Amino acid sequence: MTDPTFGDLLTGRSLAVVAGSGGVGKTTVAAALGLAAGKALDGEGDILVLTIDPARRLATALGLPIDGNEVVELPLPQRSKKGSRVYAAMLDPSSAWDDMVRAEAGEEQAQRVLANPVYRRIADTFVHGNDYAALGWLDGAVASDRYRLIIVDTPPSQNALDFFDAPQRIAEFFGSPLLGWLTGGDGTMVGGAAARTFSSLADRLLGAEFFADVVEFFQLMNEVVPGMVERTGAVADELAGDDSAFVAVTAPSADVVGRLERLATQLAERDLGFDGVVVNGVEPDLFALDKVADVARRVIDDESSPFSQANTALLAPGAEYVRERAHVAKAQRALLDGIPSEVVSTLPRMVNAPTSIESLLELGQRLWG
Amino acid sequence: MSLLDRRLLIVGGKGGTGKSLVAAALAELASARGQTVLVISADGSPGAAGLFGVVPQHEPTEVAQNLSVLQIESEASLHEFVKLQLGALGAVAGPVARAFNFVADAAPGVSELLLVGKYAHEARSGDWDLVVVDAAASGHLLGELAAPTNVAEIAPIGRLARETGWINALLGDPETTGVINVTLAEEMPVSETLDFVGRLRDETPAPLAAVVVNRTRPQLYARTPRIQLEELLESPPSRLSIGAAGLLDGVRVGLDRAAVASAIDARLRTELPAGTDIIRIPEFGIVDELRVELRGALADELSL
Repeated sequence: MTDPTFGDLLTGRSLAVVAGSGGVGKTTVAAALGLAAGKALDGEGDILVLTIDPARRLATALGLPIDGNEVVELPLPQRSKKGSRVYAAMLDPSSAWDDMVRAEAGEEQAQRVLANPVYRRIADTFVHGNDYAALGWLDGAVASDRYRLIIVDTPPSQNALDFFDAPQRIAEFFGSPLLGWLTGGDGTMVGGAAARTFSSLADRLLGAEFFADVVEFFQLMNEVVPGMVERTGAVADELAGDDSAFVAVTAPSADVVGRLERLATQLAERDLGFDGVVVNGVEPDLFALDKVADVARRVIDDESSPFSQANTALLAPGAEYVRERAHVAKAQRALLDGIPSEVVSTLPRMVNAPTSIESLLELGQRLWG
Repeated sequence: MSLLDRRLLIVGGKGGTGKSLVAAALAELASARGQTVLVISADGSPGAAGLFGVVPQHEPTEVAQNLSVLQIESEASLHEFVKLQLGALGAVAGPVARAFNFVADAAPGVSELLLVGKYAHEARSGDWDLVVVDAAASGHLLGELAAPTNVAEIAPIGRLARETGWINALLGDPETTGVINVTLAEEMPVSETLDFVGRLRDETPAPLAAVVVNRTRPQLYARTPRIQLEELLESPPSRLSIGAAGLLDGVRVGLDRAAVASAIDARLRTELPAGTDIIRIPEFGIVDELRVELRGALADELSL
């Protein structure tokens, strides 16, 4: 029996979440899996890859527009006429927030929210705002029923769980009893000495006008937030459900794998777990071969080297490099054994990052199996 | 002027580039020169301040002669600020304090301003010759450094806005303040660095002091032997064993990686503003005391 692959994992699912710390190649993996799915699930429906904050060159390679939540089709090589199409979109958090507000509020209310100076800044800078905007966007994509499989590349964060917790955090934030206290009814401060003290402090620190904008913002949001929380909460639940696969991407270094183990523990506390792990940037098998390391040693020591004397001397610095990489390759392979997941695949460290559709598809097919 | 002659060094960079180690090593070098140094971790983790064997607090802890550390807690900064600004009126607790945290969290730029205000305050306090900040990753750091300007624009009347003048003056003085970006000779980190440097210039008053390229490798081969080696790899001897052929393939990979790294380094040289100090730190592999090695390399680079 062969080990299960990402093909086995994703064939029966309709959603996949790709998580991992920044710089490990999440977007590359998400795009590669999307392309491979388009090939493998050909004819079963379309694939969508939702990326957030991709590296510019990758975005360019995928042909993604720099802003706006526009969906573009990736040119899948040799796509059959009725075959699946693969789409990609880059999330623009600030317009995703606007869309959510428009969907929940009446026309007039939405205009007032969008015109509030505090709203604009908050939509751009709110803590975990990207997580939340991604969920809102995803809700629209899921509801459209257009896609056989949606692959979501999560925003880079310290903790992938932030993504699932975003609706709850927003609900808590806007549902705070302090808010009611702050905004009491008509936008003026409610009575009580503490409230007056606060109002006076806020005026002094922030200026009365700015403080009034803050209060108005919260009042306006109070009406649209419950609907937003409900919709995004439903998506977050779906992401955590059986129809969804949770894929972690990691680099092959001890501290990154350690973070992954901690994340696995946190996931287990909520009955979640990784369905698959991609270890990206592993030294190629070449460096892990004992025969290669052995020849490297013979060249370095100039002792029964298989090369001529001149070539042995010429190769020695390169052989030092190979020997060093052999150590790294072995250490990395030892790390892989400790990864807590059923499906573990590696992608080799490449000289150049893959940026063409063809090279991404090739990577994806490697993972798909 | 030497990098360490400034009073405020703000060290930023993508996660995984080793920015905390670089910040800690810079601080140690300055304190070894006799400067009184404070290391501040400002990205919500113990970071550089946590590398000296104590758990950093919001107040400075002396960890060695001339060397203290602290970790900024945003809530504590807020209380400190309110107290400092409003005296007795600010010394309120309970729901008022909580409401304040809430508004500071929500009001755009306020928590960032308090963070910058804290390290700027330490830098001008006169208690330290040098303050080294282990700052947030690039995007957040830009938001922090732009916060005084932003807050002054959107809330021009309050006390908070009044504070922004001196903070911007301090941040904008190249004799006093320098931003250091730590990166790697790899495509994504370097692209991010170039993007960061452009935005630092366009969106903030803070001057770039240096770019540190961490974990660089020496070229495997000088030009002449490299040409000979290329010839050998082009037409290798016939009937090589698996191991010998594998070695040649491995050497090929090493050469290709070195070529890419040197192209990326060249890109950094040409695309950074002319005159930017580029400090290269070698890769040390597996060593016992990475910080000691790194400190030595930095000292060499800074001619200390």
